Amino acid sequence: MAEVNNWQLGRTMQYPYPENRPKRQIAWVFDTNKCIACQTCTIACKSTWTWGSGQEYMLWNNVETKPFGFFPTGWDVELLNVMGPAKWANGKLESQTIFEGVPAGERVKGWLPAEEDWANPNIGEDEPVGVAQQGTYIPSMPHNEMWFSYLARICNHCTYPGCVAACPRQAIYKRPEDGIVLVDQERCRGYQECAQGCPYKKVMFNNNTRTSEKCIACFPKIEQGLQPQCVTSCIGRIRIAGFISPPGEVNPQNPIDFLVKVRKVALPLYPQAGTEPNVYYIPPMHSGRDYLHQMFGPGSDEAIKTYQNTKNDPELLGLMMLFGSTERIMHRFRVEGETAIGMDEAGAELVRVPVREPSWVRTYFDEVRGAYNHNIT
Amino acid sequence: MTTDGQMDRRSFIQAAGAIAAGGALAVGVAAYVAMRPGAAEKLVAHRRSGPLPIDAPNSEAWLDLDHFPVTMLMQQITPPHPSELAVPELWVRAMHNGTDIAFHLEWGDTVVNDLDKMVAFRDSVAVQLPVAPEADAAAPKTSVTMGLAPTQGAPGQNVHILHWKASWQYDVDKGRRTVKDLFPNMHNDMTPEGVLGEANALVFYPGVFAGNSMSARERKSPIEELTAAGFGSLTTHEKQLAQGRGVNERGRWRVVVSMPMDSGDATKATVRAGASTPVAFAVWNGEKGNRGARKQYANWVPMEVEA
Repeated sequence: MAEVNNWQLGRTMQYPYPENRPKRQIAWVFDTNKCIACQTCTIACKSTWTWGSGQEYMLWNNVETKPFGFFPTGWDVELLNVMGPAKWANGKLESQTIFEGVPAGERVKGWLPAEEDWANPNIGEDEPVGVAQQGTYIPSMPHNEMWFSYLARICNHCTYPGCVAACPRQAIYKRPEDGIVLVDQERCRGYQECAQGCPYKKVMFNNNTRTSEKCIACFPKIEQGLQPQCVTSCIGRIRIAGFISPPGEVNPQNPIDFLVKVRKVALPLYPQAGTEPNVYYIPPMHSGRDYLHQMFGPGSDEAIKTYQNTKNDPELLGLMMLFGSTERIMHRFRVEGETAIGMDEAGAELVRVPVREPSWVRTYFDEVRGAYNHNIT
Repeated sequence: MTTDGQMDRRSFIQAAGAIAAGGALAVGVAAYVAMRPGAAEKLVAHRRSGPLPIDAPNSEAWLDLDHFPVTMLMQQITPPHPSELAVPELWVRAMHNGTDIAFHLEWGDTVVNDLDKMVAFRDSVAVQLPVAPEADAAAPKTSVTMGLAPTQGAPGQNVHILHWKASWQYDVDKGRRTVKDLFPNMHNDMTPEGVLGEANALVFYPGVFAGNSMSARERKSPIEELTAAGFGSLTTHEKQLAQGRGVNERGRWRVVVSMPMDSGDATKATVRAGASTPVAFAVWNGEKGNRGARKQYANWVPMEVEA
């Protein structure tokens, strides 16, 4: 075991291999508040990568309803069962990761979902916490009475992947050029140790080829400077993909850095697992706060506060408007007055969008035509 | 059973029938196991003339030989470990004809696992031989390892492995299972081959495209030849020559694996008549989640190869 730095935990931790960060790390930010669970991302991924026989049950990208939706069934409940509740003190994780306190004879703390756990990809859809009584209404935000939210999930292309740690023959590797985690299809022997070791259950066994497969971050697109299919297909424009600076470095002009490190509005999913996941989420502001603390760590209250103040934060608002505005990877952005501008790696302009979309409110009654307008905004 | 605890007529007949059937089964299995010769004190590859019975694990030619019992151990040298000792003993018989050598491997396993499938693992067995025993002999010797690493080879100590898999045996005997065989209710309304044709669709089957032996669509032998130089280094050999067959009857696997004694390949083991060679074994029980390092293994044992 090596001692490695995990900035998301505020401490070092044990990992089977020494710290070896890629030259740059691909990362995503998903705004859960804008997701409507339309599954366009799911279908975009499915129809691009996993439409072969043997991949029928595979959803490298899925969108689940929280807290009662999961794919595979109960994956996060099992994760919390394995690890116990996370304990944080002043931003530092005090409980153990999946790499620490591992039972004798295992490589990581994991579990293998049962076959039937993969049979219900949309279980729990739109099921809220709580029961509506006669007269129930939402008095204020945030509220903890009734809620659900959507969680879009892909492989987190972790800095310290559970799958890499679990594979006994190093058949999974992290690309040095962009941090994408891939299964070597020549070396994989289908042991499914990776499927057991990944806390997010994003490695899946191909029943036809008898090897394990996972999200490849659409690397052929990333190599051409394009964002992955799940990002560019998102009709709600909830996603952005780019490169995050290494720990200790911050570039406020970098969209990912700005969201994760400057405004700290986007947080890793179940950081207590210790894998340093590279998909960051803007937490759902109407969900139960205790639940969010477990799910996104101690920064979730502050992140929601920052998010709710977006309308008074021109830079953050401008960047939010740049989500989904270009297929190309945006390396830098800036806001000039009422315009937000995204740029490529060389600084060339990729796209410009208004910080506030123009809107027009029509009168309820159209006197010219003598008719009522059903839609006035 | 009646409510007052007495057996009614129907229950009595059922219970008596079950006892009789169980007894008959026990006697049958005992007779099946006991009708063979006893245990050999050493492992000998017996010299035979003519073709070896590599396709007939149940033939008298094999069962008339004394078996050499090999005590199996839980693999606990490197993680992950198996959760229990699923196969405590392996019976080994061996014969050769000067050209080929064959091993007959037998162990108890009442549940046949011959699937490669999500959350399902196959039964399998492996024979391991050193590639260059003369060079290895120069290494410091211990009474147990004979100078050879118990770690599936080691850097500078390459091993040659013959790995029989129950799922590959199924492939050879009955044809490769499709997803429809594994999951009859699975629906796939559009496949890459249906749209693009077989050749262009291959890229959507990454394991096949990469030439991974696990993914091979045509299977000629249930045995895979591999090389290794330590845990985690197992690699499919470029030249596949091993043959054999495995069957499970009455709760026991009987598997024959054979290979040329001298393939003329410096990266494979060479077995010489009249000499002694170390040999090691491993067994996997799919029902118990065995795969990869989660296995039973036996350390090196010497095998005399009759002149």
